Amino acid sequence: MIQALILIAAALVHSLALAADPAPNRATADNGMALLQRVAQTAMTLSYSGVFVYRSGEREETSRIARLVVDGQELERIEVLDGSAREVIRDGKEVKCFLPGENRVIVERPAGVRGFPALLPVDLAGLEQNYAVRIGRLERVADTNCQALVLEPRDALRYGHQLWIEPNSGLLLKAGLVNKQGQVLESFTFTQFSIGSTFARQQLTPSAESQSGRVQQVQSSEPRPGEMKWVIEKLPAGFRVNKVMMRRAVKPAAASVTPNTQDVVHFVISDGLAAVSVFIEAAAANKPNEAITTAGAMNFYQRQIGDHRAIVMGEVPLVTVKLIGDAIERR
Amino acid sequence: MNNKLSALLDAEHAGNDLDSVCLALSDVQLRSDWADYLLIGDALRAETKLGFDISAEVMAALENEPTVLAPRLLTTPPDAPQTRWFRQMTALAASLAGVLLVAWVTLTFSANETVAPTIQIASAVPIVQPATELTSTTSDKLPDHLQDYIVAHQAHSSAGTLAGGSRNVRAVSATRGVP
Repeated sequence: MIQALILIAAALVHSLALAADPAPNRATADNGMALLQRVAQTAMTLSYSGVFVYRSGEREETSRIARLVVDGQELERIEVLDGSAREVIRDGKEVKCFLPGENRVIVERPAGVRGFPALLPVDLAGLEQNYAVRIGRLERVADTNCQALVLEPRDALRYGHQLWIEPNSGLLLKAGLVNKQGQVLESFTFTQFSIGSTFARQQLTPSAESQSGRVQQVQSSEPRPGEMKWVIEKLPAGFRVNKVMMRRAVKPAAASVTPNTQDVVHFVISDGLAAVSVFIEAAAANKPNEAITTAGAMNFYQRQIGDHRAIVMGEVPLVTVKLIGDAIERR
Repeated sequence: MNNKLSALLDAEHAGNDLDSVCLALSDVQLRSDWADYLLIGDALRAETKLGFDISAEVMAALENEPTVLAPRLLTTPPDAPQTRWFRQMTALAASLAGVLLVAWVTLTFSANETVAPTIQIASAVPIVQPATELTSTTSDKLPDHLQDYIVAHQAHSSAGTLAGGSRNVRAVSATRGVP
């Protein structure tokens, strides 16, 4: 009798809770995923311009961005306003980094790589296996009320993400990468922005000073059958290899800048949101067998494997780059 | 000598050799054999009291026995009718309080606007950690070829694509220099 009373009371209270709450946990997660989907779509299709502050560790830089999308074709220019005048221009498939302080221009051009440049911003289908998505409160960023969204990592193999989204356009106005101690390792914050393609086209053109550097062009392509001599099978939980490429220098820079003229293997690995790259280059064993370096939110792990050196990098914890690096095997 | 001992035990020993047998019992091994013969005899005759002392061995074995700490079953006297009623009411009150607490927490924290955008690990999943603590050197200026690889990493991976174009600043941020 008493147990029946307890059950009835519990059912009543639960019904009241459901009636009062229009967005229970599952619905909240679904709303979060829908919002994330919108952000991903906007990141690929929206034209906009603005100024944002990039913080990485103790470093802080302000940059101006102009992005134009016409018929699915992206043209985008970032101009760093602090320090040396660096620029990044993304023109469809091609990414150019102008480094006038070093008198060089790095050109990344993929060739014959399936799926490029239609990079999926995030693999939303598998995202919830690695992150719990929570909708936060409304907060003001760049004079705009934004919807906060939190992606909590489900283990210590990845960082957490804080996102602040302009609700009308889906534009991400602020983003932070947070470690398990709650420290913000890296953040992007717009201080002003304008949606649409109303900016002057001149903002998409590199400055004359930037174009004077020597060009160092690398072309990536899919490996030919039998060409791939490396394999990474035992990846950390939630990560998988998205693609493998062979990097080939088309216009190599000075020998001191690019010591290897041989092809470099490039594995692109992801857990749906965080990305890790593995580069394997021919290298004499004249360096320490292992080295771990941190630069802002990026961690680097280098490992000598016979006459090759593997370089693992990504916006993931040290343990993750180490586990991935140690999983590299010669086929 | 063991044959003589056996004969003595069976009362078949010749009397003229008794002194030599008794003298031989000063030997430890022989005394042990003598004790064994007595024990075998007792056992065959189904004697209830065995003729040797095993207390020392038992105590030594107990000393070496591991201590087992197991909870004892508490025995309580049957409740009086008043006590039983009181216990049931207490349980009911505690259950209702629990249900109300859960409901309050649900109503308070499930609304979207009240979730603070903080990061935690969503659930504790054990992972394989390297045996030693990982330490890294922090770098403010990366070698050129690492910078090149960062550009490739940004260009080909989906790293930070949610942030749209602004993520590409990573590629040149590592090359910050003096203007």
